[in-house]
Amino acid sequence: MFPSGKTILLTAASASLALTQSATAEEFGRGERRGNPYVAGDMHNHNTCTDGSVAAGYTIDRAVGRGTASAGGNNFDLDWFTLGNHGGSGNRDCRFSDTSANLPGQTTTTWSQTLGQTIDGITISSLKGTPNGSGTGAQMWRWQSIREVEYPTIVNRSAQYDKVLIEGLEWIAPGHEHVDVAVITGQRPMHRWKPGNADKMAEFEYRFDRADTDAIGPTIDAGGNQLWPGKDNVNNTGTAGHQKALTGVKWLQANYPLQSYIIPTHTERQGPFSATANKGYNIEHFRDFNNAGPTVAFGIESPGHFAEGGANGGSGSYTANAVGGGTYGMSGIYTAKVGGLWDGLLGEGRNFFMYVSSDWHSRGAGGARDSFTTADFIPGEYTKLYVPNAGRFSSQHVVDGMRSGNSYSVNADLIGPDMVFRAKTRGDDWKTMGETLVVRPGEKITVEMQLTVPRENNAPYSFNNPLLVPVGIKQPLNKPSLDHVDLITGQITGVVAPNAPNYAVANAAGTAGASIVYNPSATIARQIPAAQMHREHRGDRDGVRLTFTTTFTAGTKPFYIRARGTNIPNGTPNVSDTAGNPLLDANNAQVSCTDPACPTHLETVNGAKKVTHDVQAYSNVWFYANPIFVRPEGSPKLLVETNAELARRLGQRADNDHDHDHHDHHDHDDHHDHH
Amino acid sequence: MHLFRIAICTFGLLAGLGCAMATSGAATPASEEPTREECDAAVAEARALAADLPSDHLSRYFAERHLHQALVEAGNGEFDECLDMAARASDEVRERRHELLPGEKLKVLGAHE
Repeated sequence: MFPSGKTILLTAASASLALTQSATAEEFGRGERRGNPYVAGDMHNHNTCTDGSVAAGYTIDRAVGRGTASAGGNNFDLDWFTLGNHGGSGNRDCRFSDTSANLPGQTTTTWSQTLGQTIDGITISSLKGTPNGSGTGAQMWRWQSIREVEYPTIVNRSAQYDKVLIEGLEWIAPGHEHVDVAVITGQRPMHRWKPGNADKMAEFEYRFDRADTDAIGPTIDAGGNQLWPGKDNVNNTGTAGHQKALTGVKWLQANYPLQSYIIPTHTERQGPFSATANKGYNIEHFRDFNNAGPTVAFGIESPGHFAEGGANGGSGSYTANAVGGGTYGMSGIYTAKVGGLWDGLLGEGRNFFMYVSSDWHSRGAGGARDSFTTADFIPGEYTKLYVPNAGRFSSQHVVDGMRSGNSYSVNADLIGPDMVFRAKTRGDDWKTMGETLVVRPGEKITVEMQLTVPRENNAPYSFNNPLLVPVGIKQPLNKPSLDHVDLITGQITGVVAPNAPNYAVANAAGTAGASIVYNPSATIARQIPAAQMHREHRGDRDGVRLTFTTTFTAGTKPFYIRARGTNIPNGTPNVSDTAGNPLLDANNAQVSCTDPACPTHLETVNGAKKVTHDVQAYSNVWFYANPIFVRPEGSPKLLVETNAELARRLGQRADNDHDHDHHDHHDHDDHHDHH
Repeated sequence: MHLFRIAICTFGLLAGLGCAMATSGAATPASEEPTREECDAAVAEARALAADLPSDHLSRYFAERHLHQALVEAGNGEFDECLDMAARASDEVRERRHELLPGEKLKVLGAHE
C-alpha cells in the first residue's frame, strides 16, 4: 500500500517566530476532566495472567478508580484502559495477586489450586488446549485466560466504573519482540444483557503469538474439532517469523481494519532484528507492517518501565545492548533522535505515530501499595496516552483516535489533557496532529500550540529536581514545570518502495545505533521557551495555561511538523546537549541526589545516592506530540492522507453494510458520555 | 517494615518446580531460544551469589526481588526475560548497587500493614 506517483523534492520551509501577545486559550482544562478535548489511557500493562504482580481486576481498579484504593495506595483515574498482557501462557490464577505485591489476603495462587471453584463470579473448570505443565506448573494458554478470565473481569469492572475498558494483548511477535495489539470486535462490556466477548482478540493471540504454541485451541464439539483450525505453529523465528508476523498484520487488516491496531513497543530493547532469532526491529520491518496494514499498523510505542534506571542505565528496561545503548529522555532512540527512525518513516509521509504506556508489571523493591517504585509505574501514575474525547466515548473512539494520529504522549503530567497543536494558512481551517495542511508555496503557515502545565503530578517527592540543582534551578519533583517546546520539522521525500536499495537500513546495537540518521533534513526548527509563551494562571487547581504561535513559510515541497517539550533546559550537564536533545539517560546517574529527602531505594556509588529509579523518571520529563503534515496544493497526496481516506471508505462501507443488512457491525460501540 | 518475605514455597509456585513441561502436541520452541534449564541455572547461580551477602544487605533484597521476577517470567514461558532478570540480580550483588546509609531503613509495606 504505497503510492506510485512521483514524489516531490523538498526545501526547508523558511520561517519566522512570532509569539502571541494575546491569550487565545479556550475553555479547555477547566472543571471536570470529562469536558476535556482529550482523554487519558494506557494500553500496555500486565497482571498475574502472565508476568505481572497483581490480579487483573486489581490492575483495573488502580488504573481507573478514583481516590485511594481500599487497601491503600492512590488510584489514577484514567479515562480508558486496555489490558495489554503478554501472549503465551501462565501458571498463576490471575484473580489473585502475587505474594510479592504485599497485598492483604493475597498470596500467589496457581490454576492447579483453583480449578472448579467460582471466584469473583468466574469458574474455571479445566485448562484447555494442549496440556502444558502439571501440578503448580500447569499453565493456562492465554487465549483461554483472555476469553474466560480477563474479559469477564473487564465486564464486571466496566459496570463498576463506567469507563472504557478494552481487552488487548502484548503480542510476542514471531521474529521480533513485543507489540501492543487490540481487536475490539465483539467486545461490549457495558452491555448489560449482551456483553459480548473477546474471542477475536483471543483468536489473534492463538494464531500468531510465538509464545502460544498450543496446537489445539478451543474446540467446537465432543469430537475435538477446532474452532480456529490451520494455525502455523512452526515459523516463529527470525525471517520466517517476520513473515508470520506480517501474516498476522494482514489478518487484522483483512478482518478488522478499523477495529484493531498493532503498535510495536520497546522496539530498541533487544537490539537490531536478527534473521535467526526473535528480537528487535529495523526500519524495513516497520515499513513492512505499515504496508501490510495501512489502517492497523500505524505507530510505535515508547518503552515503559520508567523507574528501572540505575547507576549503569536500565531505564525503560533497556541495557547497553539496546539500539542506542539505552533511553534518551525516557524514550528509545528511534523516537528520541531528531532525524532518527521515526523521522525516517515520517519523511516518507507515512501514517506512523508515537504512543506511550506504562508497561506495568511491579514496583520492583516495593509492593503494589508503596508510593515508591524501582521498576514500573501503575497505569496513569506516570504515563498518559491522550486520544480525542469524542463525547460519546467508546472503545471504537480509542482506536479511531489512535489511528488518526491526533494524540500525544505525556510523562509525569508535564502537560494536561487539553493540548492544542494545529496549523493553518488562511481563514480558520486548522489542521491538527495526523492531518495534512494543503498550502500554496509562499503562504504563511501559522502554527499554534496551547497547553496546560498542571499544578501537581503523582510524584511522592517534594524535594528539588537533582538534575537541575547543578544549573541553579529549584524545581520540586511533584510540581510539573515546562522549560521549552521544540518544533521539529522534516522533509517528506516520498514512500520508499520495498525493492528500493534504501528500504532496508543496517542497524546497530549499543550507542552505535544512536548515530544512524534516517532523515537528514529533520531539525529542531523552533525552540520556544516557556518563559516567552503567553501565560494564564488557571487557579490553584488547574495550573498554568501556556500559548504560543509561530509561522513558517510554505515552500514547494511537503514537510511535517512535530513537537516535544521538556522540563530540561538546553545544555543541562548529564541530561541534554546544547541544542536541547536528550542525552543517554544512563548519564543522569552521574548526578548525586543530595537532598536529605532523597529516598533510600536509590542506587549508590561510593556511598552517594544517584539520580536513579523513580527519582530519575520524575527529574527527566518529556512529552511528544504527533506530526502535522504540510503539502503544496497540486502535489500528490501523502500516504498519511491516502491511508486516512482508506479508513474513511472502509468506515462508510461498514455503515452501508450495517444499514443494508441490519447486522450489528458496531457491536463494539458501547458509548460513554464524556461531556 | 517488610524485607525478605519471599518464601521458598512461592518460588515453587511461580516456577512450577518439579513439574515437567508436558507439551505433547505443542510446538517446541526454536532451539536458539533460551530454555527453562538455562533459566533455572541462571537463577540458582544468582541466588548463590546473593546468599553470600549479609541477610540484611539491601542489594540482597533487591537481588531476591529480581529473582522472584525471573521465576515469574519462567512461569509465563518467557525464558529470555528470566535470564535478563537473573543477570540483573547477579549484577546487583556483584556491584552492591543498593546500600543503606547509616541510620536508614527501606520501608516497604507488608501485607499485614
